[in-house]
Amino acid sequence: MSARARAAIVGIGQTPFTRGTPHSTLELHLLAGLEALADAGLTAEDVDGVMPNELAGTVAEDFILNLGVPGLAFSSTIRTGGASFASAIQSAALAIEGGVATTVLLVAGRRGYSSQRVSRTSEGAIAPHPVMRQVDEFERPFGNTVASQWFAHAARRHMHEFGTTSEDFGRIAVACRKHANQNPRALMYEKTMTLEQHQASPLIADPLRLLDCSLESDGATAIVMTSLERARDLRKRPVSLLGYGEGHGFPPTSITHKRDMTRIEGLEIAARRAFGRAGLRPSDIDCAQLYDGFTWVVLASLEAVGFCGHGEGGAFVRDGRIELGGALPINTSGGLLSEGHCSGANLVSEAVRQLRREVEPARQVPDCETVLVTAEGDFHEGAAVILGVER
Amino acid sequence: MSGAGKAQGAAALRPAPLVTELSEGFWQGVREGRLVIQRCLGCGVLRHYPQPMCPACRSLGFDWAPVSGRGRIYSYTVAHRAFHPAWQAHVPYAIATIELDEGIRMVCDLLGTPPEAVAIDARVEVFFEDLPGQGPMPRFRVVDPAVGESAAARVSETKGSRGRERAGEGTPR
Ligand SMILES: [Zn+2]
Repeated sequence: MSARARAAIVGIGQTPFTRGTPHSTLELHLLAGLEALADAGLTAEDVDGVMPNELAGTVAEDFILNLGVPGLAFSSTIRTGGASFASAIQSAALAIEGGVATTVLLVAGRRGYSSQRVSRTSEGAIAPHPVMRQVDEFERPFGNTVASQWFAHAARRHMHEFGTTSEDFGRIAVACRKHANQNPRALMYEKTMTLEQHQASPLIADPLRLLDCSLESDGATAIVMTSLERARDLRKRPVSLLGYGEGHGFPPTSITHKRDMTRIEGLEIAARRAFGRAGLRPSDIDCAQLYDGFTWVVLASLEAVGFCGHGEGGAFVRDGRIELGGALPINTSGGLLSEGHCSGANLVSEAVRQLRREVEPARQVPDCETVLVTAEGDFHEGAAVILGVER
Repeated sequence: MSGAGKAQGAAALRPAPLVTELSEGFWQGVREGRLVIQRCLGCGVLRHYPQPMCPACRSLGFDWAPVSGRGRIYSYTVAHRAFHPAWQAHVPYAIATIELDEGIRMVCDLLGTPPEAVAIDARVEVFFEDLPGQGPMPRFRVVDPAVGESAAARVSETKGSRGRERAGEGTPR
């Protein structure tokens, strides 16, 4: 499979996940970026591509100015919300494969606790965005004001059509928490969760409870990408990009208007493209890092990727299959639900650590050679990347 | 929002819709107490939310077609927390995705309906209401399925909430 891969991830960097930070978003990005470069054995002078993250509001000029990047040849920002980071990996790979750039730095994460708390009651939108225009006119004025409410419509409809239950969502939250309890980096490292606690947690947007929602955290994650050929000469074992894809459902501007809101259509398309490019199938995946803004998104992502059929997600998560030691461990760092919300970038860094055997022994997926990372952003936009190591 | 909206005891104002040139026909209808939906002049397909081009036939032409205002709840959530201060006093409140009989979806908070009465497939109908901060708005209420559609329409007429003329004055749009 690796014969097809021409781009690789060669460095990862991450600030601690905290609730409270003295650093600005840009400072967090610069610190994570420097760590990723050091991890790769590279310096800022080597960087000729930068992909700033939409949700952080940083721009390429910030990196030129502060890192002292002398020869930037490529920069681009993907605008699909939480799917932006995984989609950016595709764009970076294209820049590398096309010879436009040799070394691309991708950074994401924000002050999700210190300055952009989504749980705060506010008269303003968290992040004004052209994609939100229709929702700003026709949904916010009707009380459908935030993401937890938008996604609750989809979760409710899924329950109605397929008999999915709040306990099914809870099993996903508990699996992520168990993994976080073995990950010292995780914000929820010391805080356990039982299914009973999940069920007792307050309803936020019925059927979504507090413990169905991802964390408010401060922190940034960076990765460095280059060609696989060059990667073999660098410091760490190269993690090659076996497949990538993005997808956009219809309409892309609201969940309530989706032809079928129980599907994450954008991710169905993205995953199909990523598997096709890699020449792999879902059964080839050793562990999956599934974007988990809300528990329901994980359940629907298992279906969208094809780990189970449409509507079968509830049954799929009922027997511990998604926990470490199960047939398909997911979100082995704790994910956005229990490690930290780094706009999905921490799912990629966890995939890299699993493939490099850099995680705590208790969290290491045995014989881990192929990892899927998915992302869901805005209103069910999707992105998927498949990462692997050579035997 | 105005300072008055934040004064002690006064509820915060609901956010006004960000009306565009494209959607003006929809809101004009609302000010006249009518629910109208953008209709493609090329192929006749209704579309909501308003947009410049028809994705089916790529025509830029459109007019505004009256719709029944009747439909069913396709999905819903019950908000137990308000993330905008205008809804703080109303939790828990239901927000419904409504599918009109014409196949058009709309979103509406059902402040007058107890959340227990909200269910997928429950029949709903439109009415119009002047709301602080917003002016005339289309609203929906659950129609008792046992009453049936025509009887419910009569109840609505008695209440005077359908087709009533609304003044557009003071609307911040
Ligand atoms: Zn048309």
